Amino acid sequence: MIKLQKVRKRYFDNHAALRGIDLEIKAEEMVFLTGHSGAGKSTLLRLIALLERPSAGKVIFDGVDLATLAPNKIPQHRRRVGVIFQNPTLLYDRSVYENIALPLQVNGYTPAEIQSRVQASLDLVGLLKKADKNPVILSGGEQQRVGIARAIVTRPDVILADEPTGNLDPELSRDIMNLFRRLNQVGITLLIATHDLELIKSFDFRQVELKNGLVYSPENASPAGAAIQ
Amino acid sequence: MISKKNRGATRKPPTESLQKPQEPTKVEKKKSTAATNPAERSNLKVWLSHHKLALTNAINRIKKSPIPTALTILVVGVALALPASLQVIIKNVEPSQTALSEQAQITLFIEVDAKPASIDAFVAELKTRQDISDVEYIPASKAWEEFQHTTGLSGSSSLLEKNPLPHTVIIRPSTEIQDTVRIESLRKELQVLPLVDLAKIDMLWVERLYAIIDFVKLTSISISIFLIFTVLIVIGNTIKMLGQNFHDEIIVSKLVGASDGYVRRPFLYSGVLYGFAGSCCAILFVFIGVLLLTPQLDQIAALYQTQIDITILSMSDILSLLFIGIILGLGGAWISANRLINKMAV
Repeated sequence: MIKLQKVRKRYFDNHAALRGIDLEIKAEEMVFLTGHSGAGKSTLLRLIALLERPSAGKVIFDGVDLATLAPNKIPQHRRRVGVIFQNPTLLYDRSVYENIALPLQVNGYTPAEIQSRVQASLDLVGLLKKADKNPVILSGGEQQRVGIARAIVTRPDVILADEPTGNLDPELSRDIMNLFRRLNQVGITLLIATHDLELIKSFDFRQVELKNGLVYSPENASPAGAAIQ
Repeated sequence: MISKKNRGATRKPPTESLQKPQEPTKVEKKKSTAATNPAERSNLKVWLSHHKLALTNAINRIKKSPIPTALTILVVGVALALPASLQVIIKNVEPSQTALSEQAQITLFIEVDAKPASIDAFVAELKTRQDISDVEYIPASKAWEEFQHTTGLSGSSSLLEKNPLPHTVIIRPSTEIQDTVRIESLRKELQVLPLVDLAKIDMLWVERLYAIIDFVKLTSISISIFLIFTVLIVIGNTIKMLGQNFHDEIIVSKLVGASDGYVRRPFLYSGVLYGFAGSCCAILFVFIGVLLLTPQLDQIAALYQTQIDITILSMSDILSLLFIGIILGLGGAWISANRLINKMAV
């Protein structure tokens, strides 16, 4: 599904965030991306979401080299990739419902479809009762779940989550990881960047550790059985 | 307190539902809805829904900044009203050119030694011409009498040995000959006739008026060009400000796969609405302005011995003003929105 070949990313200030990454994530796989802060986890996710371009190397998404994607095809790519950030980047001038409806409006769904999908999505993250609230009055965990609901409402092929539990207490974090596992069970490919090793210990999925912009030795990866479901 | 409660209440469902057997069916349902991809639906429907949404968004955005909106509409209104008013003035003065030309006359001064019989024949001949509508013969004696009468110099007439005035024939060109060029060529034609000493067009003031009208026209064109830029800048600037207010929305929309066109559309609608409202304002200003100027125009007309029927704006004027406003609004918004989109490229 996602293939990175010798991917390098150097920023304008000459800081090398990624120094030659080779990584493959299969369809319907769930992978944890670990590593200390500054190891390049966010950069890697941003490259896949086309929020950044690599300085060198290839990012191949579903068989297509993203570098060859025409600018007018970028929106279509983003519709296939749900992105979840540590800060949920919600819009505070509208309700939870409208926040989640946004990707559907962008995609041209009918109001009836929007309603049923938003409700299904809200149900999945357990926020059905908060639909009409403004996200500003929600707790951090709830806001994060609104962000997740928005990312999954179009049922993307891939979900990229960048420290989705970074601001949450352990219990809430576990809930969100369980939610991700369930999304994975229905066939969504997930790549989750986290530094919370304690949390992911109990989840039997492949782990890829980044260190100084490189994939750390393969011994760290979980057993092969977990890599491919 | 509240947040803790919420957490407690909302934390349960995911873990709970995992164990519930009916959960997969919900997931299945979700999967099946995913099959009705919008790509499979008619593009027209999607397009229409996007436009409807864009218009709603545009109106909402405008509503959220009422004061800048009012100012923008006012400035656009004034900027469009100025050239429009000049057009109204030109239009009101111009039609009377025909009426003015009809008043143009050519005075033929007859040779002093011409015999009365040949003058009569000459006048009769002029009367038969197609390009002359009216011929008036004023014998020298009659002119002299009139001159003495109007100037009150009857007593001093004895000082002059004889009548110093020539016989004159005053002709009016026919209605087909209305422009200065053709009147001038008629004058030249008459000048070379044997009995004519001098042919003179008595329409200098008409020419002056034409010159003034031409000047006003040119001024109005230059002002229009300046003001068109003003309108573009004002609308563009307001759209830019709107865009900054909706920075987050643009970023998030693009993140979830909005195309540039999708992001741009509400701004274009805002621009169109500004242009439309500005034009309406301009139309109102023109009506008020022309009504205020009517006494002055009447006075000018009186000085030129004509009457001006004030026509303010015809239906086609109003429509073209609205069209210009909308186009300018669209243009300003397009430029601004593209700059915003490029600046916020994700």
